[in-house]
Amino acid sequence: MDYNTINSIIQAYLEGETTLEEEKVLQEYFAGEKVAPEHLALKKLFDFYQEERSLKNPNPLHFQTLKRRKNYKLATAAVLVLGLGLFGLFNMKNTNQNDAYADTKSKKEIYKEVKKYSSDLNKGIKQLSAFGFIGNTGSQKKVKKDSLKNKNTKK
Amino acid sequence: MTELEFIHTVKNIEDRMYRLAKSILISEDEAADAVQEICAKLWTKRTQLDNVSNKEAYFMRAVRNYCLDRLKSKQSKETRFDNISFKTKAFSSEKNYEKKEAYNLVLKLMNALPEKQRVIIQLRDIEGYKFEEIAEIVNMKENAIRTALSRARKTLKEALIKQYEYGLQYNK
Repeated sequence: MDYNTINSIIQAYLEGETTLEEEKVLQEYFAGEKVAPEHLALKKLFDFYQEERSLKNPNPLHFQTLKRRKNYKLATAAVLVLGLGLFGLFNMKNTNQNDAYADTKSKKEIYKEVKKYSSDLNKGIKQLSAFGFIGNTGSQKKVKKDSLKNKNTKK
Repeated sequence: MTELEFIHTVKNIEDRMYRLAKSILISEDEAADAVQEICAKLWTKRTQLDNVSNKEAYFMRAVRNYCLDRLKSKQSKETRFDNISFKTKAFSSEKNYEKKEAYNLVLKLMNALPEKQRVIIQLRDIEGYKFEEIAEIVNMKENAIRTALSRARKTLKEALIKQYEYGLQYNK
């Protein structure tokens, strides 16, 4: 870029009438090696601008702790929801199986089966009561005492 | 504005926010503190920022307003000119001594400018914002901004030429 053009851009710059593009041209001119001697004072200003642009916030902001805390909450919530969901699913399967069983046999048939097995349950109770184990606590004590006596006599 | 959007915006412009705060408060420590506090404040307000069209300009405006409030408080006024530090990593070697001198000279001239002019120089010449964005940040009309910018640039140039000529005479 020739001297006259640069000079006119500098004049416009001082009047506050340059565009951002023209200001970019000036930045490049002052950062380069071929700066006219009468522009050296202004070069100091542009060097300063360049230096300032590289300044960074010495205490960069951290959002990590906040983010992490939130993630823990999310994770717990996710585990809870998943757990509840699985539990519900498992239960649903079980009830479905019961329903399937109920579908294959009519209620009457089930009732018959239950009655058959439950009537067998009480068979033999009378015979057992003779030993004194079932139904009478008094006879149980007697048995115990007798057995003790037997032990003593053996000694 | 979602949390992620907020973090993204702040991460993009936190250095700009810091530099603007530093240009107003002068002190580097105070500027860094200011950025932290402004972001904490804006974080609580993030859900209300959906209607803001230019978020960056909004954040920068918040920085300026906050820093001006800080300047008004007595405490800040006391520390304002005592706390000037020129620690910049780029100038740590002795070779860069001349560069450091020049930097400190311009910094002094910049800090001597009226606050408005200094902020406008900062936003335009350092950060490269458009005039309409600067108008949003400093709440001024574009013409007034151009006038202030022109004054600031001329003041800086004249002071630098004086210094430069003085330096030439001194070297003879």
